[in-house]
Amino acid sequence: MIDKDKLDLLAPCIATCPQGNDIRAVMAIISEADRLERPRGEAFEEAWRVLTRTNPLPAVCGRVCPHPCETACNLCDRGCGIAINDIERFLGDWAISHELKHTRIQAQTHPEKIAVIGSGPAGLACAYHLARRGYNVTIFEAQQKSGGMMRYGIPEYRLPTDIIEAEIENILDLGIELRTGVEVGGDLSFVELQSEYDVVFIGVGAQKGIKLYCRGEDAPNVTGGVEFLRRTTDDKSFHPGDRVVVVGGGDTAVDAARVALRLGSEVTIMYRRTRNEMPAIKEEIREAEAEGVKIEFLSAPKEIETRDERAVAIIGQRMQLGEPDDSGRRRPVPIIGEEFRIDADLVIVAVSQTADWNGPTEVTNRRGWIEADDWGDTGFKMTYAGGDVKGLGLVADAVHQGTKAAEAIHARLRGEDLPVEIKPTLVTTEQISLAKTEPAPRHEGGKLSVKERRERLWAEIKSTITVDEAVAEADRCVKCGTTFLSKRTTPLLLLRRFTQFGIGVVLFNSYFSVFSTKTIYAGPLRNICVPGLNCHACPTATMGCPIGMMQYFAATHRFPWFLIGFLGIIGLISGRFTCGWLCPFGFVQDMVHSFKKLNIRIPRPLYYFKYVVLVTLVFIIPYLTYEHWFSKLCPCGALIAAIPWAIWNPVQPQFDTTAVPLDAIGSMYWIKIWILGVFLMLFLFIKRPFCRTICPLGAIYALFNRISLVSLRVKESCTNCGRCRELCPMDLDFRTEINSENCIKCFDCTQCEHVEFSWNLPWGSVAEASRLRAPPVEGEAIGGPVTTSRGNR
Amino acid sequence: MTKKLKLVTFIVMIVVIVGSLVIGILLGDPQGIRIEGSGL
Repeated sequence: MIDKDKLDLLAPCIATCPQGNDIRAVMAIISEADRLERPRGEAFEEAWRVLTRTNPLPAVCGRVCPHPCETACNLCDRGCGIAINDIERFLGDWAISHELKHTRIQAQTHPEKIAVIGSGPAGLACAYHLARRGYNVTIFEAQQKSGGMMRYGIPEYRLPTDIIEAEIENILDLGIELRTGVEVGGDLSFVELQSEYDVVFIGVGAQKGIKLYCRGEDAPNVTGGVEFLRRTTDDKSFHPGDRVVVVGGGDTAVDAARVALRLGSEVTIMYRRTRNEMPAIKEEIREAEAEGVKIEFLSAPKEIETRDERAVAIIGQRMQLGEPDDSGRRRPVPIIGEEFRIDADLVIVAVSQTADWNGPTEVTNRRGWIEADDWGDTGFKMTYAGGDVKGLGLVADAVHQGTKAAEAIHARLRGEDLPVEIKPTLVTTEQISLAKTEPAPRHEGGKLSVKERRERLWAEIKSTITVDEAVAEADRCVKCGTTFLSKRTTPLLLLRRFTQFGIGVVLFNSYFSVFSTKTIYAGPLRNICVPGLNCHACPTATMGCPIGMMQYFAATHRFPWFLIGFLGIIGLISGRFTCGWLCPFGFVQDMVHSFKKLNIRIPRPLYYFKYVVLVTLVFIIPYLTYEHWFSKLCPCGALIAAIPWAIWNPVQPQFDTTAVPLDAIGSMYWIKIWILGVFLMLFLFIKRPFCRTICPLGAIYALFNRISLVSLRVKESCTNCGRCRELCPMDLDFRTEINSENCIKCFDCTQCEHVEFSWNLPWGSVAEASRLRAPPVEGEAIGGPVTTSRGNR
Repeated sequence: MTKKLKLVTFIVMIVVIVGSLVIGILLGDPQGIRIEGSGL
């Protein structure tokens, strides 16, 4: 039964993720793998594929994203949120080490050519999504190497070059052409580009530093933060001087300071507000201080002192906080007369950056930023834009903007509407049940000590979590807002039980005259069979067993024309529906298992044993021996025929007397009873073991299951929580095994709102509900379903 | 499975199954079947 209040609610991690990553699904896939006896590697790959629906750079973002998702995690109220960023990084690294490749989401190709300017995160994301859609994409990069700010703006100890290159290479392997060393606006004009390409996406970033506009700034040893980082990316032997002063409080300033420190300088950061207002990632600020970077808070540069045209010191002005400004932060106000001086061999100005755009000014505003709507559309001649060129943001923001622009470009080129934004309600801590959640320690990657960092200057500081840590951390996640299932009886289940018992057990065995006459039924119905496994030797049976009939044909060396037609029609219409709704032995298995104490999984290869039983015991051996060997061993026959006969021993009309005297009970009888006993025990601990591994009738219907008209369908809204398996009487993971040869179409899984009944018509499925979106592969929305959830942010 | 392949498979299955059923009836299959057992 579903708790309706908790359906379709948005987990806070998804809502706050700049890319709208389906974090909850990723956690569910990883944490359920062990419980579903699924190979972990397979689960990691699936989780990576879910992640890369919205983010083609998980290894990069897993290292550099400030992870607002973790701050928003409902588990923060229980001590510490889930280490989402570490899991993202783990999956990214897993994909790299296992050489997982991105795949196209549709085989169809489109004739339109797309030019992407800039190979930073926005450009790569846009190119990735369009290439997956079948577009011909070319990326133009002004630098000699791709990656933009990821490569030239983030130091190696935070983001190793090989990680960037591996993820970029995987994206380019989708068939994207990369032209490096080509500057649009220099080597190639924007007009030329527009004439050759149908759509242009601008993702050049914002690498141009903003000046301080103070005296001495033009000295040759005063440089910008991005310029400094770019230079040191290529030249680790560069020595910036003994004393370096960095002006600014953002990530670029902190990165530049830590790089200068590694190059042998004594470094001071000047920031005009306090630690609380400092925009850099808090963890990075702490790490910088731990490494030895000194931060002068509430200080601003007043002038740069020069000697022989070179900067030798910076004169600082002490500040205090005043009233909040437009950004909501308290405005720094100078304290008149309080100045100080710091010696400097190099001054790095990293106060901010601006768009580095040399193209047409029709797309820019007066401050030089490119103007575009939420979908990246500039409104100028099929030109889109995304990333820092629209305004400074995170790598994750740039990826998301590139993704949305790709979605808009695809919709425009194909004449489709843009996806409607859904605004689901956020799950709050009060709405999730943490009562059963045991507080568990958070697992996150280890860090090099400061001493180790001094010895291995450019080594990555943080390590990736292990496989076990990733699983344990995903297991800690409570998957807020997913479908909550309980074992309450539903009207559908009651109907199924009534059908199983009323039709499968009673109606097919309704020759009650046998109680008075002690003579079994021998009328015309005996010439046909029931659709389920129901022993014709049951004293009250009215019809034959299809498997008994099949053996009859094999033993009499006749081809079962009629039987094949009969079973074929049932199979084609309903597949294994009979197993779920009409089979009396299925009913027995369900009933016995309802007293279960534990649920043991069956190894997958055993599922194929039923085909062996069908071929050998039902066809080959009866054909060779003229005897019904499956019937001799059948536990269903033992239960509903052998035991009643032994107790009661009615008359068979053709013998006109007690047909088989009780003293005829031989060893086969006791073998059969023993088999039944074993199965009854198994029913307690295993869901429908007979149906899954032995039943030859199930094996016949299984052949039709995927094409039968009666069908089930998992909606795209499925949150991959995996809890549906608890409902399935066949213990299937129906996200992948729905309508498979083991699905008995009992519809118990439709208790989950994300599964529904559907007619599998040969000309296309017709779902009962009309709320389905496109199927997950061919019609997958570019950014995956969760991109539309971001309206809630 | 593509729609076309699905349709073709379905039609072939229908032909085979209905054909089998008709042949079985013409050959007198249902009347010829006589299975009983004691269960012992």
